[in-house]
Order: sequence, then structure tokens, then C-alpha cells
Amino acid sequence: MPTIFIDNKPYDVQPGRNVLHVAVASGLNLPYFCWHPALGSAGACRQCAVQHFKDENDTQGRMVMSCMTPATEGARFSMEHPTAKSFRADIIEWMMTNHPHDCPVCDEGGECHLQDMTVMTGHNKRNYRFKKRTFKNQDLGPNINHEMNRCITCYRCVRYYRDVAGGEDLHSFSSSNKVYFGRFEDGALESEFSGNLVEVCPTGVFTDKTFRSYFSRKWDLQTAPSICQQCSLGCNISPGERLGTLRRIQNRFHPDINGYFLCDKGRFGHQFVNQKTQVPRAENIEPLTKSENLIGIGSPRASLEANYALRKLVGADNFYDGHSELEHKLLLKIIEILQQHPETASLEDVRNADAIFILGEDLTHTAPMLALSIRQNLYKRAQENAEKKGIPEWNDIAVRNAEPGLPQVVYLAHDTPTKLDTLVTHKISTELEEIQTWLPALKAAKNPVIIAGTSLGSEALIRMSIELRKMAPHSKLCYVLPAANSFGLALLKPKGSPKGKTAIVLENDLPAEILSRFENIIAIDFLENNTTQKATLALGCGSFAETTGSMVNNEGRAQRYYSVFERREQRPESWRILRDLAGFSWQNIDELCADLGKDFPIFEPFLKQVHNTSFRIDGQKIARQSQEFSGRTSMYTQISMHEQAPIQDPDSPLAYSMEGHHGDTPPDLASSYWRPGWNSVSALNTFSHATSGVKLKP
Amino acid sequence: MLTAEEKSEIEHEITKFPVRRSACLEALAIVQKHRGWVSDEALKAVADYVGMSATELDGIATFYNLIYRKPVGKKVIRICDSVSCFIMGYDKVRAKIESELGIKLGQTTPDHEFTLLPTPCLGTCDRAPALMINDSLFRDLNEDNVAQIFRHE
Amino acid sequence: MNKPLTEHIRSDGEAVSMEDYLKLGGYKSLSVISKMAPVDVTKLITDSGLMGRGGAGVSTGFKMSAVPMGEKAATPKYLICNADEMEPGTFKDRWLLEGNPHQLIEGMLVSAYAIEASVSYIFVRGEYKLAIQRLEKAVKEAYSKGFLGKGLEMHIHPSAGRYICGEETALMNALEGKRAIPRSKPPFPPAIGVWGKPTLINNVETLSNLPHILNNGIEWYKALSKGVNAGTKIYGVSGHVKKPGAWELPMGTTARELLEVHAGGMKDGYKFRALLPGGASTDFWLEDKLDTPMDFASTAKIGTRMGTGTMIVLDDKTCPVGMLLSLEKFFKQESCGWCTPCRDGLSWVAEILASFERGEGQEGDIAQLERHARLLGPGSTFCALAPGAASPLGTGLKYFRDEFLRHITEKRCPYADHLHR
Repeated sequence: MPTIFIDNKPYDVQPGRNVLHVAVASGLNLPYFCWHPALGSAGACRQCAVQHFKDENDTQGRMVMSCMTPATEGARFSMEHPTAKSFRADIIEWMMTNHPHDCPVCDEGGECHLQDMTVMTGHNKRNYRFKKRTFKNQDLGPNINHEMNRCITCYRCVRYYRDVAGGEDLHSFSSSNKVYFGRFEDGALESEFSGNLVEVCPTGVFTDKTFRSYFSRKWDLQTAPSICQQCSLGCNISPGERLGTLRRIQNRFHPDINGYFLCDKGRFGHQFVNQKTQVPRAENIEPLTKSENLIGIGSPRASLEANYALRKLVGADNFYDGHSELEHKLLLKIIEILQQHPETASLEDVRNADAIFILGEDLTHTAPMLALSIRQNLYKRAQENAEKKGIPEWNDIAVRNAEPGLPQVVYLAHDTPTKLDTLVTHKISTELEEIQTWLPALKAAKNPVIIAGTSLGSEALIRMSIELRKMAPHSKLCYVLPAANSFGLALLKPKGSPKGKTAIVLENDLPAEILSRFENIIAIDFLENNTTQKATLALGCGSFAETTGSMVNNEGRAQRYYSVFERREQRPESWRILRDLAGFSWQNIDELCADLGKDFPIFEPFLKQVHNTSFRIDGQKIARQSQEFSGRTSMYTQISMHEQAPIQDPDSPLAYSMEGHHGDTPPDLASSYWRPGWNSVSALNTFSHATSGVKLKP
Repeated sequence: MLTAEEKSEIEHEITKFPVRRSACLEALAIVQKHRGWVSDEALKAVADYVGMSATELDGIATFYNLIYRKPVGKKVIRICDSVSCFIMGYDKVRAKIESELGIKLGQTTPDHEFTLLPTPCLGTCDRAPALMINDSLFRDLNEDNVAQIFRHE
Repeated sequence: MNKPLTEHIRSDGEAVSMEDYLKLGGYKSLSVISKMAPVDVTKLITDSGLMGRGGAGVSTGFKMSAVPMGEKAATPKYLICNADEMEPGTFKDRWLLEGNPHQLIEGMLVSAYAIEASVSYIFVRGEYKLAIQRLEKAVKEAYSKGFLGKGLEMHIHPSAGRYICGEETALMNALEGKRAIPRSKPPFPPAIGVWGKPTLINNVETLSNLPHILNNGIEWYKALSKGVNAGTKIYGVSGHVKKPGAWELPMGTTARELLEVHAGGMKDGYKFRALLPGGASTDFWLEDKLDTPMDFASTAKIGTRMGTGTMIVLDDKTCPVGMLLSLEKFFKQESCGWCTPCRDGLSWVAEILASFERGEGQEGDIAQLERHARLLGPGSTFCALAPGAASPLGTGLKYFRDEFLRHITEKRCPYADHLHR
């Protein structure tokens, strides 16, 4: 591992990094704008200037941009050198000449990279005495707000939106000091990944419009580590809550899954949590009298714990799958395959594959982040090719100029147009004979990934995937499943074709045909739907945002999500409702999971690794609230003049409080990142990133 | 919609490049030659034709000063405001044109006859001040002879 | 005096025709190179000491030798003639383009042979309508005579505008139909250039030299010069001089000779105050530097640059602050907007200078301008545009400080009456 010196102190360097990346990852306060770990270096903002010395005897040095300078063995730099240091303040001063300084009314305030960098450089006095240039803003649709006057022209937005996400409707316009980032005309941004602009933009140009209608400052949001519920990929998210409503969702870094980004469905599709049409909260539940023909229908969107509780209540023979018949059959097949070939591909594996074979999935719809991972894959291939020409992988613009062509990596079998078609060099129909023609390419690839799934309802394609896998044993399989916990439910071995007299329907809206099979229906769900309307008894449970539970994603990775809500009238977890219906004695999730592990040893590795409720750091629970959280003494005065005691959380090592541990946590318990001086999402870059979750072996 | 003539001219330009979209600036220039400027509709048509989004093409078009994204007069006067012309009396010549036509830099006469725009150095500094009216170059200008040009044009 | 580049350019303003060009020995260098290996052509050009005439003064042969050769090299390789002449005060390439387009085409054939390029473009200033017309005709003729088409394609690309396109990496983006933002170097264009392929980019005057070097040899070529660098140079003078114009003269001709002999000295009623030796992005020179030989090495020796070699003369009746405003407004406007110091720093500079001309200059402004002249210098920006803008600004502030102060104390531009502003 090479060593470089910054202000005469040695730093270990992960090979192939630039000096800025090394400095930031080492916890040094070196300001920057246009660099981003997922975007690489552009050399545009000139903010990360440092002094570069020839050798130990060179005291004068030469100013360089650290983001454009490779960290080579023995190289010597200084952040403190007066030339570079004052230049960094000069850069901020230039950026600020046109910035409106409207932080008090800006949604970004308090989590603004520009604020942080301004403070970091020490620039604090305005010398520019002329008028600021102003821009007109655009209506970018319901999700993203546009405020161009705040722009400091770092080009991150277009580099993300166009280069990473493949969006074609955002660009830089004009030149000189009138560069404008926007669309040809007003209109909703077309990319499925537009929401990442909110986090990529270092200031308040692109902000979360859905957050505006019930805005809260970052430090007043309560957050907890959570898992996206919108598809089977299990992206890690950080929901933010205040005063009993879910306000927004931000990305939570996971190196093997979502990385730095989320899809718009995951980021913006959370409004249901605040819907008024909630099923009345289940309370004072009496145990059911045991009746004949009581069955339970599980749910791929309910937690593992809830499904297990239902199964335990009704008995293994009476536990049915909440998927459709067809999906049930396909899932059985997939589980059967994975029993023999448990090596599934993560999104990171997809990003690193040298060939990707997609069988009948329109990924942009069925698993959006998988589609983005394929775009990222193509860029990684370009980086590899450029590296052979001597261009380091972080030199983003140079990589793109050196590799203008499309790497021939993606093979797609699909019968209708998909949004990925432009990236695909070999598109064919889903005819099996045609797919056979892929074999030579599959065999020739070093680390190929085969993607299939349930969305077309084709068992033939799933069979085909295993045929291909057999021909190329080094390939990894990746199945796109119907819902967030499809895999988890399938592992509990539910039966198909539910029938009986009374059915407990867990978090599921079943077709009328199935509902008509039963005399009595007990529905447990969060929002009203057709099933709860038809039910004899409807019991309201909490949404994912106010409950704690586990899910198994499409690769078989079990992960836990944690409640972020402290509702004064807490809505119960489904498993607690089922516990009460059954008369079980579980007091918390640990007790339930102990039984789960006994009945299903497959979950043992996960249950051993997941942090149980007694986990503490320095004897403390981990605080869900920031140290600056405001209003604690007065925020519930409509209930009582007295300060409310924090609600106790029996199911996690997290506290609904600003008291508790702040700072470094195990990755699966981290929901927000902060370091002194780093209040924005960029704080993430000062942390190291271990993986989390446990891959199960069916 | 592009005319058949425009399309065939654009096709000819496309043959000069290994990548179709690289001809986008030539395509805009062709449309501008025929229509005087590049309207939103024309820009969309060109974007479609060369295979890129309107946003992308407009981002490119607005970078360059010879692509007009706003209507201009029949005759576009581009007066050099760079250093040699400045020394040799650009200000007087410009003032004369402005008073003669009744418009300021960046404006078009109400009859859509003339648009007056500044341009960087026209590379004829030994015969400054200079200006162009459409494709014709005029040099050695002064307050007296500049008015002549307009009467002539 | 030997004027290989311009001796055949007609005085009636017409271009040298294909017929005349051939009669005068045109395209003869092609038979010379046909007997040479490509690398030997490059070596000859390196040995000739030809330095790029676009302003930076890099050895042409050195640049050519950076192009990967042999079977492993990526293809097609591209040769681009940079005819995007837009440096304020520069008017030399127009002369060559309009006067003798075949000479350029021949030069490009030589260069393309040496680097084994199969496709070439002439990236020409969009406003150079006459040059474009004549180039198009000449290229067509060269095709029909068979000089072009067999080994080398040649296309003419009129620029859609913007000074930054003259920066070779921005030029490549413009040619690719993108926003003309400069690219980071390394990688350099000879290794990875336009459309990701090896690309050599040379100025019009540079390329026009090549046929003569091949025809007459390097000793002859070196002997053309009376300075350190080889060959002739097209120099020019603009401003209030008796005979403004451009001349092909031995490299190393002094600024004084240009001003006093060729330009005929200052116009009656005007006194010499200073000059920019080679376009807008060079330092001001006062009288004391006039005896400097105008070549790359001699100017570098005294810590300054020759640039394009076309001088702009500042007289005593023109406001130096106004001249700086004209220069800096140009640079501000032509900034591509990619990097912060150039984009926001030059705007600030132009705002301050404009306020001086309005009579609103303030005491602290001079220090602010000085700070910018220092900060925009080499090393802090992405490309050379802002350092170019800093050259006249820094030296202008040094030499004309009193003029700035006069603007502040008089609360007006002291030259306003002269300029009618």
C-alpha cells in the first residue's frame, strides 16, 4: 500500500486513488465540490487545491488540484501551505459572488455542502460590490425543486444525471458566468433516478419538493436505518420523521447494493405512510378461540417476523403463500435452483460483471436500481479499458473521452422495447432457441451474471437461466422477485392455493376470487384496501416506518429495518397483533427470533449477526435524533404541558431520543453520517464502508 | 419539420463524421441558413434527426454564439468590439450605427431589417474598425463611412 | 528577403489558383516525402526547429512524434488544422487561408503522411466566410487532382463560434458536436484525441511551413531566421501606426523594427505608450522591451511571451483602462464556464474595469484587480484562457497605475471625449 505525506504526516493509500479521495477518507478537512466518489474527478471547481512538493527539501512547491493528482508512493503535499489555503478561500469567494446567501429560507440549510465548505475555508467577508446575476427557475415536476440562483456551477448535476443515470433531459446551457443547468423546457424530469440530484447537488439548486410541503431541518428529523419496500432489491434507506409524519427518504450507503443512489420510487414513494385512510389501530386484542379450518395467508411485503408469527399461529400446514399462484410456482422453482446454486449476484456483482445476460426482465420497471447498476457496469468497463491506456479510473472526463463507444457487455432477451435497449448490444426475443445463441459469449466471459425473474410469469425463462448457469458454472444468478420480502416468505415454505373457512390475511390485498373462498376474513394491514373492507375483522398495524423487522432481498440477503417513528399512539407490528391473537409470550423481537431460528436454522447466521436489542455502544443505545434536535420540551404540548417521556423501543438498540450514542456505528445501524464540519450527505465520504446484511443459503 | 433540402444538406454533413450526432452543429447552421434563426420547433426537429434529445442539443446550441436561438433581422450586423477595433474607434462607429438604426447592441429594428450584435475579433485588425453584415466584411470604418454601408446594403 | 509562405500570395486579393500553385512548384513536397518513411518526415520536422505558430510555441516535430505509430496504433488517426483564429489583434492566418489555401492543404498532406492520419479537418473560424469559400474550392480541386482522397480525407468544419474552440482540446469537443469545454491533459490529443483516437492539431501557419521545409531542407529553413527559433514568422501590427499590416519576416525580427520600419512608426499626433506583442493574451511591453527579438526563446528569456506575433499598439490618446476593459470583457465573455476562477474571477475583473470607465472606480479596486491578476495566473485554472487574460491585466496594472488613479480622482474616464463615450 503506497504512502503519501500530507503536511508531513504519512497516510496509507488505497492504490489507484487521487489525493483528494485519500485526504477526505482519512478524515482531513479538505474542501471540494465537483469531485464525488461515484462521479470521479472533473477538475472544474478548483476547490481542492493543495501544494505539491518535489521532495522533502522543496519548501515552495507548486499548487495542484488534489482531485486531479494521483496519490503515488512518497508524494508530498500540504493543505496548510498559505498559497493553497488562501486559494481555497478565494474559490469560495468567487462562488459566493452570485450566490444569494438565502440559507435561512433554503431547504438545504443545515445540510449544505456549500455551507460546510465555506466555513471550512474560512472565507467570511464579501468584497464583491456588484449586482448578482439572476436566473429564472424551471418547473421540474412534482419531485424536484429548482432554484438556479444558488448554483455554484460545479457540474455535478449533469455529470450525475447524464453520465451516470443516462438521463437526456438535463444539460448545461450557455457559457461564461451564465451557465445554466436545466431542461429544454419546463416539465417533469424523465429519469427514474432524478431524486439523486437532491443529494448530488452540493447546495440548494435541486431539493426534494415532496419534503417542502412539510419541511423540517435535517437536525430536527429523527432517522433510523431502514430498507426500501418498493421492490425486491432491498436498497438501504434512511427515512426521516418528525412529529409523527414521515418527511422524506434519503439514501443510506450500502456497498453491495445501492451504493450512493436510490431510484425515485424508493425515494419519493413514501407518501402512503402518512395517508389518512389507515386501518384503525389494533388494540386490546383477545386471543382467538381455536377454530377449524383457520388458515393464514402470508405476505411478501410483510416482515419475516410477521410471516413467521402467522405461520406459528396457524400451523405449517395452514400457512399459505400471499403471492399469486403463478408467482408461487416460480418462486418454488427459484428456491429450488438456489438450493443447488446459492451464489447469487449482488448489485455490486452486476456492476463488476464482464457480461450480463437478461432474460425477460424490463429492469427499469421491475428493479430500477438493477437497471442503474447496468449503466454503472458499462462505465466500469470503460474505466478498465481507459486504465490500460494509462488513465486512472477517477479521471472521469478523460475516461469518457477515451472510451466513447458502448462496451458490448449487455445481452437482453425481451419481446417489447425497454429503456435499457440503447445499452444493449445483443437484443433478441425470449425464444429459447435464440437465447441458446448466447452460450459462446457466456462461456467466454470471466464473471458473467444471468438475470431472470418473475415479472413475465415464464417458468421457461427461469428454467433457461439454470440451463445457462449449468453451461457456465462460473456465472452468478440474479433473480428479480415480486416484492421486498418475497424471498423471506418463500423460505418459510408457504403452500399454494389457499383454502379454508377462516383466513387471516397478513398485509396483503388479495383478488376477490380468493377472498370469496372464505367465510371469515381477519385482515391485518396498514392502509384500507379491498381486503380490509371485506374483512370480518380488520386490525391496523404499523407501516415499515414505525415498525422493526427483517426482510430478505432478491439475492437472499437478510437485513433488518428499524422503526423511525415515535408515534404517541404507536401502531403495533403485525407480529405483535398475531402474538396477541395466538396468545404467544414474545415480549420483543429477540424472543420471536429465537423461535424463528429454532424452527428455521437457515436464518441462524443472520440472527447471530443482527444486533439484538441488548446491543450497546459505550453502554448506550444509539440515538435516532441529532444532538441539535429542537423542540423536545414543547413538541407535544397539545397532549400535555409536561415534557413527554421518550417512548421506549423494546425491539432495537436504538433510542427515540437525542441522548445516546452518536458517531461511528456498525453499518447496519447507521442512519445518518456526521462529522464536525461535515453536515451534509458528504459526511458519508469520511467514513469507511463495510457491507452489512447476511446472505442466506436456502 | 425539416425540409427535404435541409435534410439532404444535413445528410451530406453527416458523411463527414464517424458519429451521426457530431454533425449537430452543422445541422443547426444549415437550418439557420434557411430560416435565419433556430426556433424551438426547428431545434427539436434537428435533435430528432441527428438522434439526440432537445435538451442536449439546446445545451450545445446555447454554448456557441453563431447559433441564433432568438429571431434576428434579415441582416445581422456583427460589429467587432475587440481590442484593435476598440483602439481604432469602435465606440464611435457603434454609436453611429445605433443612432442611424435606432437600436442598441443586441436589438433588432422594428421592421426586422437589422440586428446589431457585438462580435469578438474578426481577424482584420490592420484595417480596424471592422464589422460584418451577414457574410460580407466591411473594414476601415469611421463615423462617416459607416452610414454609407447601410444605405448601400 | 525570403518569404516562402507569402511570396506567392497575390496582391489583387485573389487566391493562388490550383493551376498557378502547381506552376510555382506546389505539391512538390509530396514527391519528396514519398521517398521517405513517415517517421523520417517527423524527424526532419523536429530537426528543422519549427515551433507551433498558434501562440504556445511547442515544437511541431515533438508533437508529431507523440502520435502512436505502427500497427498497434489506434485508427483512424486524425489531423486537424486549427484555423480558428480569434485571438484579438491577430490576423495572420486569415491571410494564409484566403491567399494560398493549397499551401495549407499541401502542408496537411505532409503532416498526415508523417503521422499516418487518414482523416483530416480544417476547423475554421465561422466568420471567415471568404476563407471557407476558398478552402472549399481548393479542397475540391485537390480531390479532383488526386492529392486528396487516396490516402487522406479532408473536411472543412466552420466553427459555430467561441474563442475557446481555439484551445485544442476544446476544439476536439466542438468538432465532436459537444459543448467546447477543454479536456484535462493528460491524456494529450496525440494519444487520445477526437472520438478517442490519436489526433494531431496544428495551426495554419505551422502547417503552411511544412512543404517548404521538405522542399528546401532544414539548413535552408534555419537560415531564414535571424533569431533563436527557425524559419520566418508572420508578424503584424495594429493600432494607430502609419502602416498597419502583416508581413512575413525572419523569425527574431525585433519589435522595434516591426513598429518603426514595417508599420512606419506612430501615426502623426499619436505617441507610443505600450504594446501587446502577440495578441490579447500577452504581457504589455513598454519601450524598454522593443529591442527584443520576436521569437519564442528570446521572449521567454525575458520572462514574457511572443504569442501569435501580431502586435497591438497602445497610443497616448487611448485609455489604457478602457483597453484593458475591452480585453477582459472579451476573456470574460469567452470563458467556457467550466472552472471557477475563470468563470467568476473574470466576471469580477470586467465589472471592476467597467466601473472605472463609468467613473465609479474605488481605491480598493486596484488591489482587487491585482489580486485577480495574480490568482488567474498559470496553475490555478483548467486551461490557459484565464492566465492569458491575466497577462495584460497584471502588466497593465503595473504600468498604468496612475491612469487607474486618475479615473478614481476625476470620477470619469479622462479619455472619454476622445472615444465619444
